[in-house]
Amino acid sequence: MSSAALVIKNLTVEFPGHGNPIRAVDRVDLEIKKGERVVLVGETGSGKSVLLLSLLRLLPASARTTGEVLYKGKNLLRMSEDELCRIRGQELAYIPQGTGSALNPVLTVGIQVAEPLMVHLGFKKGPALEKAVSLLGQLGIPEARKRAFEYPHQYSGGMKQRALVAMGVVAEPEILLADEPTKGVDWEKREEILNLFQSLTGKTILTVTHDLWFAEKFAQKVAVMYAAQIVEVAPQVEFFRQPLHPYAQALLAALPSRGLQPLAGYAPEHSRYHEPGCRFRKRCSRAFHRCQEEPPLFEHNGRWVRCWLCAG
Amino acid sequence: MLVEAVNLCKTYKIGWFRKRRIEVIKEVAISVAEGETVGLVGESGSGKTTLGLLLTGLLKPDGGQVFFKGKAISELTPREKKDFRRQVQVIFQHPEVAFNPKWRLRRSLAEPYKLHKIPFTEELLLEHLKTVGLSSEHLDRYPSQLSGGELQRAAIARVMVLEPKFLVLDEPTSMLDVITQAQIIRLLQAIQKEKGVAYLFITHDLELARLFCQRIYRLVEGKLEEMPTVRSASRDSATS
Repeated sequence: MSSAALVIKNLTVEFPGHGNPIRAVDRVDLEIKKGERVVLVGETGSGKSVLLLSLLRLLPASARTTGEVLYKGKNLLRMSEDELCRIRGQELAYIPQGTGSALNPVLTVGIQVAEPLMVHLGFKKGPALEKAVSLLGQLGIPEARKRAFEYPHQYSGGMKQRALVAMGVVAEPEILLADEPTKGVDWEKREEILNLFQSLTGKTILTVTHDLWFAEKFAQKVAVMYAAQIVEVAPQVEFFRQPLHPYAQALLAALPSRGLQPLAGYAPEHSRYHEPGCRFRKRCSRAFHRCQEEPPLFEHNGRWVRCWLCAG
Repeated sequence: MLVEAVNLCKTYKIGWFRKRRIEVIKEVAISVAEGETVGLVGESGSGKTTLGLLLTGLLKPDGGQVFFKGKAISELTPREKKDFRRQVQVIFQHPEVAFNPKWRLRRSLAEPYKLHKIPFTEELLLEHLKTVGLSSEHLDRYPSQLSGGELQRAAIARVMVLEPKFLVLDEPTSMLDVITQAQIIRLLQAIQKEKGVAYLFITHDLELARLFCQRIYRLVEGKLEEMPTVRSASRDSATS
């Protein structure tokens, strides 16, 4: 029996553009083992959130997704809508980015947390609410029994974030996909959210973030995305000790704790992705003649790196 | 001192019939010298933004005074007030709210020239854009077609046209990735070196404040505490 919970193969997502289609995710391969915590990091606009949404087919109808996303041997991208609806929210849950628009403003938080139980597991309203209250309490919502009957606007940002996590985990999904759970929150709240995620032991979790502090504390495996492509996949300890891809090295060097050294230049425009060669070469201080050709993902001491410098 | 505040107080009235009172700023004294960067850290809701807005005159204090170049801003003549408005500016956490979503960047960036009667030419605008790492190709885009980092750079370019003396930076990098954050901080440092502008840097990130600021204050329950700026001090002390 395979130990992989989710296998992403050659996943590409394109949106219609003025000329050529805009490729937001480009031939991504990633395997997530059962119970593994994978964090996908990268710059804003690198395609992280689109990748996450494409796994659950939550992108707008205009998006064209190709490749395979294998879950229990079935390709999620080819599954019927009915079949996908059955597992989405129950076996595969999604915690959206930001707390502003993710909760329904006219429903109480308790009902929203209880909803996956009623929809997917056939719970009646009373027991579902009871379980929602208990979960909100476990996640540190004070006076959970009373607060479950309040509306999202009565919650603070940190409480809303916890309510979203509760919605994601209430039906005990096998795989949890979280988008930027710490974006824009202060240090205390970040630690609260980290503790919350760390308490979800045994769950397979794929989190997208540009928060490297969160990635270092939470991940078992780190994947780095640049200009729609995965450029490095490495175990967390090795990644933070010695990243191999020049972009990953630049990411860590830009951290305040490591000197706040900015990487010069900007990521290429989406419209330039079709140009041949490594997409990072114009910003790379170690670029050489081979970088005119697009590098594949090389296996390098148990890590995966998209750079000719690691070609062996 | 360029900016000085004494005994500053601010209370918000909230709830039904505005009967509940929250004292956000309590007899605060703070000063910022020319060309200096002062950090302001504190938890969410601690009143950091309120203090920043009080110093810019965008909020009126319930008590105390704010002085700009030695003169109380509540006593400025209309002409002086106009000068003050030009010399004191704010950069917000969410740059997208600072731009009209229906205007192309060209129109948004040309606005301060018009409002403050600064001679405008396309060359001048492009020169300003170049200093923040943007180019003519960005001018015809709408805010939604720019990344967070590009928009924040555009916001900085727009403010710098006015040659401000004091800039309140309200968490300008908290929504950005680390590389863009480093680019923006280094850009602000370069501008400061060239123009001598003073900054009040509001942030959650004490480690970043220690790299960027000469002095750091922490706002706790409406009162200011001065903090050490030594980089080696633990980040945890910011929030503990």
